[in-house]
Amino acid sequence: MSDFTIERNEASAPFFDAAREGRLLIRRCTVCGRLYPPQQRRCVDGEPLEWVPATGAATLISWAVDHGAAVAPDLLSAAGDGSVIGVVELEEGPWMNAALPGVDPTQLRDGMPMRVEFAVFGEAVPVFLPA
Amino acid sequence: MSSTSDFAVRAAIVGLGITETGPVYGRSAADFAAQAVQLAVADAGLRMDDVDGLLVSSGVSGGVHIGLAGQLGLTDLRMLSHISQAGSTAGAQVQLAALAIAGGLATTIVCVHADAPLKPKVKSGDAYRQAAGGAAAGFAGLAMVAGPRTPTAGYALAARRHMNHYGTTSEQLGAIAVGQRQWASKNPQAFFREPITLEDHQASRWVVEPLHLLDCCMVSNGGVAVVVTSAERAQHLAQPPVHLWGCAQTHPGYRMERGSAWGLRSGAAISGPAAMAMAGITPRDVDVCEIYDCYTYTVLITLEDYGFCSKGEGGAFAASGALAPGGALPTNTGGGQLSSFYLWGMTPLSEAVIQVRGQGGERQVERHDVAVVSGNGGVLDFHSTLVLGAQPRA
Ligand SMILES: [Zn+2]
Repeated sequence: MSDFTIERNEASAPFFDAAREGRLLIRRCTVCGRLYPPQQRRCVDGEPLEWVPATGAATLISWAVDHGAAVAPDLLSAAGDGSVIGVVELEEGPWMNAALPGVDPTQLRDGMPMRVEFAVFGEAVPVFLPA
Repeated sequence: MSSTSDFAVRAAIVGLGITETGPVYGRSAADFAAQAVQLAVADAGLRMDDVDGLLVSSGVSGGVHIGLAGQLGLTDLRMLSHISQAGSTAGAQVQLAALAIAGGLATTIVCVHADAPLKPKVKSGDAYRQAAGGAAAGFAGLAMVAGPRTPTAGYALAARRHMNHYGTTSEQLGAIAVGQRQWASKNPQAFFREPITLEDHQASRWVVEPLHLLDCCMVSNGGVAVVVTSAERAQHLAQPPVHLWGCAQTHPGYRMERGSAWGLRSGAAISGPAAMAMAGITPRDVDVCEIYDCYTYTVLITLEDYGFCSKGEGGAFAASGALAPGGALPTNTGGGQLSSFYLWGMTPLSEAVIQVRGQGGERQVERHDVAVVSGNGGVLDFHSTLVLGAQPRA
């Protein structure tokens, strides 16, 4: 198994600082207030973004079970065959791709409530589990 | 007085070159590209000296670039470009060639795509998979954990959303794979020709659930080229002309947020109707469809978006047998990327040329006056559509 690690950079440092404290940050336009997932660099209107907290509550939009080599053993499904990944809709509106570690994919349902947790791979990263 | 979309009706595809395809080793992508161009020019009954435009496309292995002109000994070209739109490239190449011909920039333009990602003793899936392990910086590291890490994983998420929303099933996707294999069994060039059943599809391993192995295209080495010239000149060349009736592109740029149609509706929903409007047709007028089929699900959502069935009914439409030999809408009649060969948008385009000409042999469809061709790249991010006709457009 791999020992995958994330190395922070300048753009992601505030996000990983908050994640280490168990807080999920997302992006908000400083001008129009539109919200974006963490990796967004600019608002669609070209204005700069700022970091704001998200509640970490979400609903499940889609999921898939990747049977290729797992990035890390911690990301395997409950049954251990494959890694479950998903798309979640944050309560605030933006969608995020996220790992759903340790879940049983047969228990997942469209629109089911999810909540953020954090898993550490060098840096803490948000993952989502059924609420 | 000509309308703004008149350029399309003046162009025709007059030459087609397809190299050996599949696990063919010892040749570079540039070698395949050069051979495809020469085959296409000869097929048209033209000489290399007649070529005054070249539009090249390189696959995942790279290695095809504008230097191909020099390699081919082409001189004094009036147009030379590298077009890079992933799976939507072939349609874009033909569209650009038609515009250039209508605008008087060139008269005889070859569009070529080649790739050589397969190497002896390397798993074909690794050509498109990022390596696991190691370190990644910043949000790229987050994306490694969050996925999707492969195109297959991205399409699996999109397909699951379609299933969630419309009740589409894996068995319905399987009907697409089974039908295309039936077509492939009639195509001597197809790599996979052994018939498969729905049970085979269901029993094939998960690549990324809900996509089985038999929902996924193969990876191929090879090259395909087409020659585009004016409709007038096309009447006097070696092959039955394949006239361009309509073309369009749409690159949807999904906003991934509440209310997004991602996975439910793609760029095909705009590109398809636009190309058919330019052609002056509706889906009812289409005799044969050649639809980009990186995954079975891609065929399903594209046919829905093009209006061949209602939105959400693609699964039932496929399961009815409509796409298979003998069905109401013959689709991917060479076996497609799932069963024949995978050279991006040149796979559906080349089969459309063969069918419109009436040169499909055992797999030739009875009515072949109008064909629709799709190209698709990214994870439903880039889309092109061509409408081709056996006659000059009325
Ligand atoms: Zn803004």
